[in-house]
This record gives sequence, C-alpha cells and structure tokens, in this order.
Amino acid sequence: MNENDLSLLLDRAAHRLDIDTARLVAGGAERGRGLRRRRRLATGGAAVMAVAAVGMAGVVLPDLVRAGQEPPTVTVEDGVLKPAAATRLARAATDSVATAEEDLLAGPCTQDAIDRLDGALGPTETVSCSPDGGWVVEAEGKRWEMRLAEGGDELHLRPAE
Amino acid sequence: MERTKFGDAGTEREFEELATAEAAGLYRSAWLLCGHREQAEDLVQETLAKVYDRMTRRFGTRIDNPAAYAHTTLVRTFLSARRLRSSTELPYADLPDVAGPDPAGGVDLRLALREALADLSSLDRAVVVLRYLEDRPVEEAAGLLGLSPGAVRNRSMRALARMRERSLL
Repeated sequence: MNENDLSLLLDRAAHRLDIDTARLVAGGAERGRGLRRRRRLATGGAAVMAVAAVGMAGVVLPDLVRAGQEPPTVTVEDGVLKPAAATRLARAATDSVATAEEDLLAGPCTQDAIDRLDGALGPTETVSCSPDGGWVVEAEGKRWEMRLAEGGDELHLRPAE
Repeated sequence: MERTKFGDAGTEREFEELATAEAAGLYRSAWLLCGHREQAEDLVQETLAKVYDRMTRRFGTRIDNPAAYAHTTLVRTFLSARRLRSSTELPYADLPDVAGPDPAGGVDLRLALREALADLSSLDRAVVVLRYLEDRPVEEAAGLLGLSPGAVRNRSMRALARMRERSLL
C-alpha cells in the first residue's frame, strides 16, 4: 500500500484500455493542419494590419509632428492684425518650412517659393514679392511685409507701403 | 539552434512517427485525467494538433524531446481546459460506461479507479498521472504544474489516501 502500488495500479488499468491509435493520429494531424491554417491567416492578417498601420503613420505622423511644433512668435510692427490671422500665418510659415524642408520665408522671395508657400496659406491670405525681394502677404484686407527670423521661431509683420 | 522548414514533408513524417509512437501513452494519461473515453480522445487530438503546429512552424526551433513535449502539452492542455470549463461542469449521476462480462476484472478496476480519481481535483489528478503513471520526479512534476515540490508531495499523499479509502490499494 504505497506509491509503487499506485503506479502498478494505474499502469494495469491504463494498459487495458482499447486504443484506436490510427484515429488519434489522423484526428490530431487534421486538427493541427486546421490550427496551422488559422495561424497563417492570422499572421497574414496581422501583416496587412501592420502595413496599413505603417502607411497610416506615414500619413498622420507628419501632421502630428507639425501640430506639435510651436508656431513662431508673431511680431506685428506698426499695424493691427487679428490674433487668429497672425496665428494662421505663423502656422502656415511653420508648415511650409516643415513640408518643403527649407526655410522659404527666410530666403528670398521667388515665384517658386510663392507657389509652395501659397499652398500652405489659408484662402484669405495671398503672398507676393516686394520690389526688393522681400515677402508681402495680404491678409485681413491689408498688405504686410513679412520676415521670418532665422530658425523660424519669430515672424515679423509690418504694413507694406 | 536548428530550425524546421515550413511544409517540409520530412517534418510531416516526423510528426506521424512521433504521434503513432506516443498516441497510446498520451491516451492512457488522458483517460486517467479526464475519466471519459470521448474527452480523453478529444484531449489527445488537441494535444497532437498543438504538437503538429509546433513541429511544422516555419520559424520554430526544433523540439529537443518531442515525446516529453507532447506529454507536457497534454497535461497543460487538460488543466487549461479544466480552468475554462470549471464553471460549466456537472457531475454525472450515472456512469456512462456499461460494464459487461469481465472475467479478468479489468472493467471493474477501471471503473473503481475512475471513481477514485474523479474525487480528486484536476491538479491532484495531474499530479497522480505525472508522478505515478509517467513516473516523473517530484521536481519535474512541480515545475510542469507550477507548484512547489512540497505541494506536489502533499497532493500525492492525498491521492494515495483517497485510493486507500476506496480500498484500491
């Protein structure tokens, strides 16, 4: 009446079982193939989701990054510009720099630069070049000379003559 | 580490050889764990399915001891399924097997053993199977079941006491 007796008892009972080995093996293999198919489908689905997520990140992240950037400080000289318009201009300048990866406003005003910056401005603003190659923006019904300080963190606006 | 190849015919053959060699042993353990023929067959097939999936996985590392892996998977699958089904289990008032003429006493022995094992918890039954049918050391059974060696010994003693109460030993 000890552990060996229990081992013998279990062994004796278990070895008298009628076992259909072929059915067990066939059933196990069939279920295994099903499991593998489901795993492959799940893996494929996960891969598609991953690609979609990377694609979405590529589209959304730049906007998020830009949204996280502080707009440049707007300094309005000798004139009145509503805060919303000033912020919009500052945001447009930041977007342009981030999108084109160059400091458009810090450089000379050219038609190519205007085209690129214009797309970043709102519908109420238009930009043009002054005779001396400076930037002029028309907003709130007025024309402003615009200058972005080096580094893009400060935007100066002055009523254009 | 050697890696298996996905869809390799050799791997399929390896699985069939392993399953054919181990199916009977797995079934005996499963029967003692489950106490029912159908549940035991289901458990063995589920175990073999997991082994198949593991052996044929594309980037899986080769199993060092497939037989031991299969038996370990069986016990873990049983305990996992028990945890999931524990709230829906109902005890049988009558045993489904009908004992026919049994001059050698085999059926009586199995029925008595099954009743005795049914009194034990799932974990106790797993301890009994690992320790006394598969003859695994206390430490190995403890590691496999996530118990301390002392807990395995206690559960073993409890199972022995239950068998004695039923005059099986």
